[in-house]
Amino acid sequence: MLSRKKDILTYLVKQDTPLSAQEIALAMELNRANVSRYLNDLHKEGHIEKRSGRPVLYQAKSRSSALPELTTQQEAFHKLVGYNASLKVMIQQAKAAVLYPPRGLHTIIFGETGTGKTLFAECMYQFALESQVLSKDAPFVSFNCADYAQNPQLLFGHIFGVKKGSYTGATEDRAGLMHQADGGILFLDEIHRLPPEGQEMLFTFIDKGVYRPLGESNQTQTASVQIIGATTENSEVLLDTFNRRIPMAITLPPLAERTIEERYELVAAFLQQEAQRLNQKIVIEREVLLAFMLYPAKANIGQVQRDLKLVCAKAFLHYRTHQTDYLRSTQQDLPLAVQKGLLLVKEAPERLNQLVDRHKSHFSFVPMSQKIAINENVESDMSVYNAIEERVEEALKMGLLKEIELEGFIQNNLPHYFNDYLEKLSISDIHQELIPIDIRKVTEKLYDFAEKKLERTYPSKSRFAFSLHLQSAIERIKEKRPIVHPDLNSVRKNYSKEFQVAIDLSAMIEQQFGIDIPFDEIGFITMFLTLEAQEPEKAAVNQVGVMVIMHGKSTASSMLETAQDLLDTKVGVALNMPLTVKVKEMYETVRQAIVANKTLYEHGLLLLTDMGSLNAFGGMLAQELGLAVRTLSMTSTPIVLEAIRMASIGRQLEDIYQNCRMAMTLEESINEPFQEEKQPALIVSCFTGEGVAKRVENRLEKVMDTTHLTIIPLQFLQLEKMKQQIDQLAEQYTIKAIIGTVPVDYQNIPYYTAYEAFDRKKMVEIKNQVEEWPLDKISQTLTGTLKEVGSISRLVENLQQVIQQLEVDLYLVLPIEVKVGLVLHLAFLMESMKNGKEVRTFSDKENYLMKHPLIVKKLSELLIPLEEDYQLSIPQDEQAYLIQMIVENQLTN
Amino acid sequence: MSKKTIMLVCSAGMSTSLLVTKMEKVAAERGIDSEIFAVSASDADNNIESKSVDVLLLGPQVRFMKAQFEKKLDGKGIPLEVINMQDYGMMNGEKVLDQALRLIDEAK
Repeated sequence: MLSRKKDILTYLVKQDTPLSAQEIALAMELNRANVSRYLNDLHKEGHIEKRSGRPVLYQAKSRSSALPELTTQQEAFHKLVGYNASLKVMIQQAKAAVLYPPRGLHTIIFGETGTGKTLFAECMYQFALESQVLSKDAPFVSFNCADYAQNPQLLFGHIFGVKKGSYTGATEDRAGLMHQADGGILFLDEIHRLPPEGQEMLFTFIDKGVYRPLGESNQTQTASVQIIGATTENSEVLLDTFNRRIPMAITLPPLAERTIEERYELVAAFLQQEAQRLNQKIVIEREVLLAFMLYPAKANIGQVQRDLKLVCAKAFLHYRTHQTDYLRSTQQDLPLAVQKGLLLVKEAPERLNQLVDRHKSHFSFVPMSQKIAINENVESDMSVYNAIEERVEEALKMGLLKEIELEGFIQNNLPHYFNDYLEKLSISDIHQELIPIDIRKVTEKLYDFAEKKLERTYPSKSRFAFSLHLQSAIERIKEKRPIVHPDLNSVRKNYSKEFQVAIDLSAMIEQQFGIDIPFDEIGFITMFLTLEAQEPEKAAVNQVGVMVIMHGKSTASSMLETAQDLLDTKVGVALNMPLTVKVKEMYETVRQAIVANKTLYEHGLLLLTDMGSLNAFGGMLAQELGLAVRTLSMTSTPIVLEAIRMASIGRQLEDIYQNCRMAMTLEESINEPFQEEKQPALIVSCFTGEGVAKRVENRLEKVMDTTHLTIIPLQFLQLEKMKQQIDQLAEQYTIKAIIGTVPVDYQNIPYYTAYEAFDRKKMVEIKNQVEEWPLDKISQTLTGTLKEVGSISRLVENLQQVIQQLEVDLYLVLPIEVKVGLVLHLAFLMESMKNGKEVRTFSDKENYLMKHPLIVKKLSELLIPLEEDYQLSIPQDEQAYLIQMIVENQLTN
Repeated sequence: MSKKTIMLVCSAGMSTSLLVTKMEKVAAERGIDSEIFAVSASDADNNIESKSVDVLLLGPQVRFMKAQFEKKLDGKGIPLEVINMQDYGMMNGEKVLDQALRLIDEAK
């Protein structure tokens, strides 16, 4: 028996390529089942490597006797694409962190989603093993802090351990990850999700090497662990905290900053890996390769890999159902977002042609024995293929479907396997955190169901809005508060199809949450289902005619063409008036053009002209033909664009006219300040006026100064009614913006989705849009007091711009009072600089500035023009004080 | 009526000194016996010790120091508030004086 095993090992050592059990059994004339058993034993004993795939392949580990040693010292980082280019500096940092005596430096890795932080940390561990900083059996413990983020206590206990009796259910002492990682590395992904207590304890450990398990009050514990943290977060506050406490910071570049060579290598390596995994050749069209190398991938390498995986899965499906010789992929198989990469070929660097041979139309990836590490997690990565395989077999067994139908059948279901990542792409952290997982899951289920039934698709934003609504509806029902839909009957009548589906959905919700859904709530659900259907339906019906008439051979037609092309519409008619044509003749041409197509102008005509006598046509046409006509002269392309856009979505003549006119005056007098005595207000709206709207309101209250801003929740039932309500409110308030679940495009009031209100960057934008600065009052007070700084109102305006720019660039959320205070402070500061007053010092300035590199850089950039303008310089100590006021005063949520 | 000591704190004590002038004027008009002064954040500590301050007002741009000061004033019975943004922006001496007097009153 023993000799058989040895024989197999000897045989394997001689082989260059990995083999399956079947192949080995054949070659050695042995029973396959026995061979499998020996192979498993050998694998357990660590003599051979097992390569998961179809079929499973085996290879001897110690091929060193036959081949030169591949794994020489310190190879760990070489498997990273770009190790000697974009990642060179980071790898030097990482090596330094690992080798730093006695036990390495604690490290934090910054980088956007999908830049490879986890893999990088794993490489650091490998490197530590290779360089013998860690012993061979040193642990690498990896944990994602987001996993228990909902339960800080659990999270703390999981990392630091639990003392018996610290809470009900803690019946015995339990060791945490820190203990498990003793002598090795603890990798904490999404470290910013650690609750404050956890962070404190972690920092204590970093400073002193000791920690305390949950519920332990006396004894501290020690562990020899190198911490590697990772975070996608890049807000100044977090950067600060971590930079201050964790000695080594490594920032991985986003995909867009990688070289084109690296991008090629990433794509090629991944395809190679898939070929390996499936043990089959993959052939792709030149376009596929180009698209993957060029398309903008928001979620970086991770996204490219997922999209590649999707394409490979499609290819695999075709390969399985059509029994072709190898896997192939063409441009048509690509997701649209990836195909769009082809639009960027012209802008790509010259080097692209060297990488992707211009004369080759196809590129092949053939399985080889070489090992490539992109994602080590081979087992789980087979799951997609396995799932496809199972479905194919299942369906074939039933004999119900022909091959071709089968492919379509499975392809339709394929997206489900990718739900996870689609979800990750569309919903950012804050959104996920906001909504409990069960609500999110149900929402997905409901929408998938509704999409199928109603044969339409809903964007992820409306799903998000619905899940917010659902959450509050459930709360309401549980608390037995009434739900009343004011217009249930007309909803039922006008949207009977959606209403039917809403009933089905309610049944699903009832079952899931064990509640009774009242009839009125079904009305609200119906309205969510009609969300996307509302605007366009109206559009086609009463369109206003738009006519562009201008002097010159082709001025009108080319202007209109531009607008039509941009909007992808055919709305609008252009009439050119060459200079040789008399005005009278031209009028006749216009008149006939209208008469010939009278139905086009039933709902009114908007004339867009350039100058002179053309402006008079409107009145004459109105009289002669009995039409409603409005004329806008001195038209420019943006105005044509706006007119066409509004006409194509069915806006009324008067509405379009007023909007365009406003746009024109705006263009003219962009700098004229707008005087308004009314109180500013913000409308938040949703179907109930209580669900989503309330949540948005709560969110806004945290960051806005509500003593000077009124937040008005409105119930949205019908667009028309909503407009009336807005009109009424407008008498009393200046409506600064509308935030809600249904887009409202009215009176040029900026609209933001509920989704955006939870996005930090967007929030800063909304906030700046809404906030009213008492600028003229500030100027009034300062006039006469400040004498060295010229026009006070100009100074105050300049200062306001600096502060606002700072906010926008750094996603800072500062209370308006602080901003006003800062403006005043700066104004006085500049005056005293002018007067040559002595400078005060900021203690420990260098250290403080070092901790806030981003703000320091941005602030000094923004101050430079100001300093030049006013011929003074703001000393570093004063800048440090400014930074302190900004950093310490910002709202973190 | 005893003398009221009002201390204003901002980053450098510059912008608040204008406010002090305005508050003093109003106080004089009303015949209120008061001492009003502005200091920079770093000088605040000394003054709390050396003068018997009745109330402390913070400029909005240093509102982050509120917690710090609350700790320092803990047990001393000295009330503390951030100056209202509008009043600060307008350097409205009257309103801010009212705010200070109200706080002193409430603390009694």
